[in-house]
Amino acid sequence: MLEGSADIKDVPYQRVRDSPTLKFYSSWEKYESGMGEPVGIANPIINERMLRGAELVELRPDGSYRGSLEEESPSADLFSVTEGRILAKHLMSLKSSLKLKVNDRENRRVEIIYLAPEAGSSHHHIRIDVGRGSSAEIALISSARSSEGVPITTMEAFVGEGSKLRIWRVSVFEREGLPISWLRVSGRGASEVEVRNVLLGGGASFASDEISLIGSKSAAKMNSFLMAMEGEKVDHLTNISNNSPGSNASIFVNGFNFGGVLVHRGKLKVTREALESENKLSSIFYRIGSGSKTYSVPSLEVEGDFAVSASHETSVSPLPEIVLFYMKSRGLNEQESLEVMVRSSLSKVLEGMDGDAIEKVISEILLRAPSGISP
Amino acid sequence: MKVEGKAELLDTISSSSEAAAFSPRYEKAIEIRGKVDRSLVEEISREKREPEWMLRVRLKALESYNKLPAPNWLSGVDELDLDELIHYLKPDAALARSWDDIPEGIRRVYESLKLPEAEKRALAGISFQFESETVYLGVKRMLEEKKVIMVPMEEAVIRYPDMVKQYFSKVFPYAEHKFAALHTALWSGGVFVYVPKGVRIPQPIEAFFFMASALEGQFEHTLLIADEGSELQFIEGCSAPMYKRYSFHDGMVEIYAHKGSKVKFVTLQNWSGNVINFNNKRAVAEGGAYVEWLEGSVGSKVTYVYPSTILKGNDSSTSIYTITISNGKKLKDTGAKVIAIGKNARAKLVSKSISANGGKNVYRGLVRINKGAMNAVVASSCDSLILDGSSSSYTYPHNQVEEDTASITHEARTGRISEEQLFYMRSRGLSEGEAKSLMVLGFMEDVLIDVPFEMASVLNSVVQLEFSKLGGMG
Repeated sequence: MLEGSADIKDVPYQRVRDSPTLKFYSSWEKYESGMGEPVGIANPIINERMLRGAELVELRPDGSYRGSLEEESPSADLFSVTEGRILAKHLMSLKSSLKLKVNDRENRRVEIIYLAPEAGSSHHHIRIDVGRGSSAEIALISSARSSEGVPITTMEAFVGEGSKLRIWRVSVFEREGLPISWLRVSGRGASEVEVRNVLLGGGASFASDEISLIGSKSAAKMNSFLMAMEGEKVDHLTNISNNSPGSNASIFVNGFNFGGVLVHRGKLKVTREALESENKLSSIFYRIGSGSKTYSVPSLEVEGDFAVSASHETSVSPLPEIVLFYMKSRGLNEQESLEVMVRSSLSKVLEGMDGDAIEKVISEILLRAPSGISP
Repeated sequence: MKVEGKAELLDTISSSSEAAAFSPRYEKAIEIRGKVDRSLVEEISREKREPEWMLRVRLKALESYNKLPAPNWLSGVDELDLDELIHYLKPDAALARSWDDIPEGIRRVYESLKLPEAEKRALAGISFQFESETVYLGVKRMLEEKKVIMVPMEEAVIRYPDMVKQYFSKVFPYAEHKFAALHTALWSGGVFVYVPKGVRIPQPIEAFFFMASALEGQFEHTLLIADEGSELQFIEGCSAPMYKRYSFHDGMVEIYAHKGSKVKFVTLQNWSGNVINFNNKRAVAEGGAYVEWLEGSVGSKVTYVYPSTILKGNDSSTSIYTITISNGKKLKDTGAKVIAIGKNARAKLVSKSISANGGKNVYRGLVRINKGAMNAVVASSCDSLILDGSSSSYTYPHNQVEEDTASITHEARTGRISEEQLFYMRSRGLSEGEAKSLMVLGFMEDVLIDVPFEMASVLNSVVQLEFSKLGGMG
């Protein structure tokens, strides 16, 4: 599958342009110019363990790793080099694929720490197989100070019948960082797939999550928290293809924009197989700093009259007056109100992780917010 | 603003299907067909005896057409082969100011559409385009007294060149996409309306477009200029007979609403089921101006139309209502676009779509708030109803906010007919078809509430006409 390197230059950044007025929402040129041989290891921002008692895996910029995963020759079933140039370059640069296997009726918790390069690009691919009646909780933690590197991950997961998979992705970068992460999950009957994201900063952070549900009575849930300061960009995709009868699919994205660029594109595709399913996509973005840009593209594709419900909604606005008024009447000033809102949103996404670590991550995020959102 | 003569307008709409049932006999004066190239464009320009500057505009547009790529998201247009089309077809009929002066074969079309009665009772002016040329223009004395200019577009090019140069292809530049460029290179027909400062026209102006031939391209250009503080309502309708082969429509509407003016543009598109329909529609609203689009898209095989408003001036506003029905193997790719530039801009976008019998509806929206468009507020909603398992609905709204003080919301829902409601209605003695028709109208009701009563009635009737066929469903 990694053949054809000579043709990479002919692969477009992406097959279809995003918008009639913007060429692309994603900063493909920026990523491409940052790619190259990895240099050094950047200082991580998050040093705490986020999943108490979980197995630890460490991904290193040179493509090596430490931990208990199986190592295989590079392969990816859910990604193709023809999809886009950056993805193709990543797949062609893989030294190996890591495999995480969760046997039938087994429970596994794994925390993956991705150490970013100071410059250049690093490449890792992880395949997750969750057997029948099993459960897996996986946290992918990536953070870096003063890194100009492009740490790239592809993850693909296959979730067996009656199994549960929960994935956290915590990505905190200072404004030079250019992290990229693609996640694709295939969930079979009666499976539950949950993906939660905390995406903060980076000169351009790109995180794409896609879930495909097949079999009956499955569930897919995505919940993301995005935040960008001045000079930062967070670019997030959340797509669910629902082919599962009696299923439930939901996407929720909450963004706080302190003068940076936030992009969210989400698509809910409800196919003719998704009989009596419920589907919802919603996003709320608050603009707090000046000079912010927010792009929201919530898409809905519905085939046939088989779903019980299919809806999407989005809003982009300053902090709502009614919320501020309510908080004020409880004795909180504007900054404290904002902190409550950020903390509340983050807590929902990080719920299930270690309490002390959550508090440290929240404190770090609040510290980075401009003009006095104090921890 | 009030639309008078509701009954007559209803008649016009309801009889467009009747008009489509026959193919009128008429004499052709000129027919230009074949590959779209420089010589073809020059030939059209020569036949129209238009000034050199307009030929230059056409040729520049042709250059853009040749350079621009075809949009890669188009579907349903595989059979479109521009080289086999008649691009300009002039009937052997001079522009008439009286219905009696029109050749009988063509006059029968108007009569079946009941346009003469509508003109008498409800309209301030009417323009009728047959194939590529305007063959009838009726302007009431009231418009002349108020110094309103209403002439065929070709006449405006000759008589009012400065005004045409100022606005033509400036609101919707031809270089924006391939089909806009094609339109500008080949444009023929359409109407030019200028409403002077402070003039309010109480009755609407209507333009009706008829394509009588298969493998024909129609490229009419409508340019409306509402000067400061003026008010104008414009209705456009269309029809074509059903042939075995397709026809192609690539029209353009440009509206310039000066300070404090109000323009309401209503389209009731009821092309026959083998027309490939592109329509390029855009308005610019200056300070305090208001532009309203009401796009009722019922007919055609494939339609691509996205009424758009650029809110250029401070305190300008727009409402864009789109109602689309895809009944049968049809594609409606529609939507609405708003670009806010001025301060305190307001916009409301409402879309309702119904898909039945394998029909497909696509909504593409753009809300763009530029930096500096302070306090802009935009609300958009998009509801789709799918009536069976073979139909589908797709929604792609782009919201681009670059101004800190702006607020936008978008919501969309795709639903189906509730079995409980259907059961309830059937237990009251309604057939399944009647019950479904009622529910479709109920689904439309909340958008029709936002539309002035008279226009809501017209649209209501169009929907009833289309879905009277529902009795035969499922």
